[in-house]
Amino acid sequence: MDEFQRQHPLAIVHAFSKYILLLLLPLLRSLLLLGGNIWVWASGAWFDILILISVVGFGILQWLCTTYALQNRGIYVESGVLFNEARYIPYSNLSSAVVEKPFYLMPFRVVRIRLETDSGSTKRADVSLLLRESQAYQLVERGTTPLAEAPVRPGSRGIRTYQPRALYIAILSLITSNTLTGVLFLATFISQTGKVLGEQFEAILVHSLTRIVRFLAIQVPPAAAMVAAIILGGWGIAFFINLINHLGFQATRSGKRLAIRVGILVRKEYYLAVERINFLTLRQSLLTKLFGFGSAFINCTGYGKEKNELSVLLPAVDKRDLKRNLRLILPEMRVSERRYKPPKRVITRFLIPPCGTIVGLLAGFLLLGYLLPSLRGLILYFAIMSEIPAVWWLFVKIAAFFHVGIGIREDIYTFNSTFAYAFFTTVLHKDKIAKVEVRQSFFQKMAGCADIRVFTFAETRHHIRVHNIAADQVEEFLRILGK
Amino acid sequence: MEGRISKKMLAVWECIAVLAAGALVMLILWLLPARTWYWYLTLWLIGLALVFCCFLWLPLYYESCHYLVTEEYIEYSRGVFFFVRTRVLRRSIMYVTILRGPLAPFLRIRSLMICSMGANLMLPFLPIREAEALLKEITPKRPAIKGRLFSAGRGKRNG
Repeated sequence: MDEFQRQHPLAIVHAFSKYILLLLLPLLRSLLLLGGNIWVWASGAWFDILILISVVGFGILQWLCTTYALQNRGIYVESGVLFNEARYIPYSNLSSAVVEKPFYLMPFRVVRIRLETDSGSTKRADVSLLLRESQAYQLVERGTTPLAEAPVRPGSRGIRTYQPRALYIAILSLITSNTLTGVLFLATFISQTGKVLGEQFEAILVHSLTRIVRFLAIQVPPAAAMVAAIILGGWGIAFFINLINHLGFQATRSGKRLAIRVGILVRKEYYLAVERINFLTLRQSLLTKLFGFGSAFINCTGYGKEKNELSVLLPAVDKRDLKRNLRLILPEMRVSERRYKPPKRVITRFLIPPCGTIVGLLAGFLLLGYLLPSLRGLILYFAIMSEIPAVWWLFVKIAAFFHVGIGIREDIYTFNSTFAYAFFTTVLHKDKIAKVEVRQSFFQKMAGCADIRVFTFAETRHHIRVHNIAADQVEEFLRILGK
Repeated sequence: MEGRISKKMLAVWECIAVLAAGALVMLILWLLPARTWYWYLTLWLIGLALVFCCFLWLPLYYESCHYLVTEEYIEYSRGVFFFVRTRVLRRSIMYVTILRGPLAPFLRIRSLMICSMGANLMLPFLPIREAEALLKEITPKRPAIKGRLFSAGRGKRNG
């Protein structure tokens, strides 16, 4: 058995760094304001100093109580001050190991390592340690080298690398950026700035942002300009965050290990056990589907679990590139054409919901226009704005009829499904299917079709819903799956 | 191996339906002004719903609830207007839990929860002997992890 080791001493402050910074900066500011007179400063801020000392003291205790030992077949970790936890994780049970290198820890040659198994908390890593770089790689080597040395196929060895162009990362950021994420980031940034640097600085920041919006809003009502600025600004920030988080993406397949490197400011290295990859999903919108593009994601415990992380495998690929790159880095997952699909007679089941929505909205707004003639201009505006997504949904549903279905190639299943405005192609091994549910409403019984819900192996509950497959094909699918 | 849920459950559901209708009637009597047209309408609707539930929907629902255990899978079907068949593959079962609710000792029934990573299947309200026999039958004899590994390329299962 190997020696017990401790984390890097930086772990004392790293866990509470946010709180320490919030306490330390105002304290230093007040010390500077008092001209360096320590006694006057200490008599005024004694309570804050006491809290700071106790936070650091607790950090030291926690650091002392957290130890780990690398053993032949697994890692033994002990942690906790009041509630002591000791766990032994065999290397063979690891789904992923993540080495995180934030820019502020790089000068100290310190990294954060996260170990994940298929069980444990869905929000936190099973083991999270702050270690010297050499210690972390020693752990990664012990945990994942047997995987890396195993052949991908009998008799085949070698390392294969996939590195997409920066443009593809930009396309991925474009598709996945969410306005809300950006707005939340901006709100947190402003409020945290206020806490750390003082309310005056926060006021200056907010005033400057308002001036920028006023400057940009020429001949536009201020409220509309503010809304547009929030939406565009939020989206822009989210795009930028996604871009810097995923630039430098590189996936390397060696044996049964898939290593993924991403990021510039916070560099992350993921080491995934290929056998633990639950499924691969190709995500497309109507536009990207028309242009033949999509982004491929994988589900493996620990990958894409943290905030602002995406479980991306191929940032942007067309159909040919998807097959080629999958053959390169994940040959186990092979996309197949639809074998089971909705029969032509059920196309109405795809068209009725959007058509009903379009007609319903139109009728509603016509009635409103008739009842409130003075507000006709406003009603017309809202009618157009609400009809656009309904008409878009109709196009999505038409495309969905030609998309949904199930393909089978040996033991690898491909499920084509849609959700809201997105198209999904999910590829998985049949052993990764946990449960199958066949759902048939009264009308579906009359039309001779049924929905199939496939629950997959995943750390959190996940299912794929394939709509309106012909009833006899559903039976055939169940029969093949049971074999 | 196949079977149904305990017959006693139909009686329990019907009692619950009658109690729920009774509670609703009491609420209506207390809330709405007596002998108005909507007072009559609400009471009639509750009565109709009760008759529909007790004499049509619940017996049909009970009839539709059945399970099937084969070498490859466990299937549970139910539903009148929305017919649902749920199937768990035996190779993906991690463990099986037997559940006992507050009424279970009196009705001599148990429920089985079949757990797999990412999904569970509940076989509810089984007669106690059937539940115990099923527990022995379904509990995985080999570690499920064996079945989850696949060798690269050919997709061949281990185990």
